[in-house]
Amino acid sequence: MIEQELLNMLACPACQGALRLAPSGDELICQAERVAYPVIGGIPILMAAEARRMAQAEALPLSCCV
Amino acid sequence: MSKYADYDSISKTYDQSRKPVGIEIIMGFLASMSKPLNELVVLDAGCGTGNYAMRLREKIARVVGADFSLGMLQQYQKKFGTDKANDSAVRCDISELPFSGELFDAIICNQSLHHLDQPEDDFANQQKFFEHAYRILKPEGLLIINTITHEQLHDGVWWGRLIKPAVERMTHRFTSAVKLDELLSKHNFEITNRVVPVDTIIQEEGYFNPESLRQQAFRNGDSHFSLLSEAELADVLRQLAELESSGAIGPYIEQREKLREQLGQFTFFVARKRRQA
Repeated sequence: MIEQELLNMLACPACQGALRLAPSGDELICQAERVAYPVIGGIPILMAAEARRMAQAEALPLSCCV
Repeated sequence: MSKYADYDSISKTYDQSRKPVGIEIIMGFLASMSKPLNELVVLDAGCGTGNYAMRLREKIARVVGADFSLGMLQQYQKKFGTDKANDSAVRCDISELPFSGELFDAIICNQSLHHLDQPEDDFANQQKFFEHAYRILKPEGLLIINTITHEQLHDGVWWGRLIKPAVERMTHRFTSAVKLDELLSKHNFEITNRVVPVDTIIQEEGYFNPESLRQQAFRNGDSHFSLLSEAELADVLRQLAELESSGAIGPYIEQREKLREQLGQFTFFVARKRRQA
């Protein structure tokens, strides 16, 4: 789990936009780029090569994110 | 990310020979900032296993570690244990620092810049690092770089001449002091100080023992050795054995150490973020 203070500091490496924690807690999502970055053992992996491109249907409204 | 060393593998033995050398210098510059230490937010870019971050955490409000190697970051997490900063490790390429703007009071970068570029890249990734460092530092924030000058590459360790092929290759991965000054200036940083701790030895434990060069764990603590081919390493060890069998190793080390005592092994460049015109 990523603590909120750290989450507030992180940004998407592609666009420097805000990231939101997915409800599952194991991905960080950049809605602008429509990519999900993995979180492994509490460590965010903020690298384009490790990111998962999200399907259109996956786009999360802000209220879905914690 | 390192362009030549496998730090996921090295992470298992890295701490056997590496300590946070020069931490007192870093702490001194951080203490000289306008805010008290317990209010500072500091990024350790290229944090490795967290040797520096752990020491910073004793005084600094918030330390975030960033590194390319998941193996090194897992060692970092083990060190922090249940400390709340346990969650402050981020895997990333530090030439694309994934943080919000004007967030950090200071960024420290210890012995990491030379891992970012291939020799033919004209330090493109180092420059990207400086661009992002400028973006995420608060106004007048400090960038504290611990690196090795070309002179220190050649003569900062007694075995520098024995591993000459690796040193020659390394000089294309490290900027010269003049080039670093030029690049920092280009990216709106002003070097405010340079510090060479001439009496500090990076791998102090085992440094004076020639046997250390035969130990993989010791060599893992000095990425120069990653740039030697197997044949070149065998040649280094052959030269070492000759020096030992002839009884010349003691005087050899003594003579080489005179240079190290003058040059030191590494240099801190302290740069301040300029206000944009």
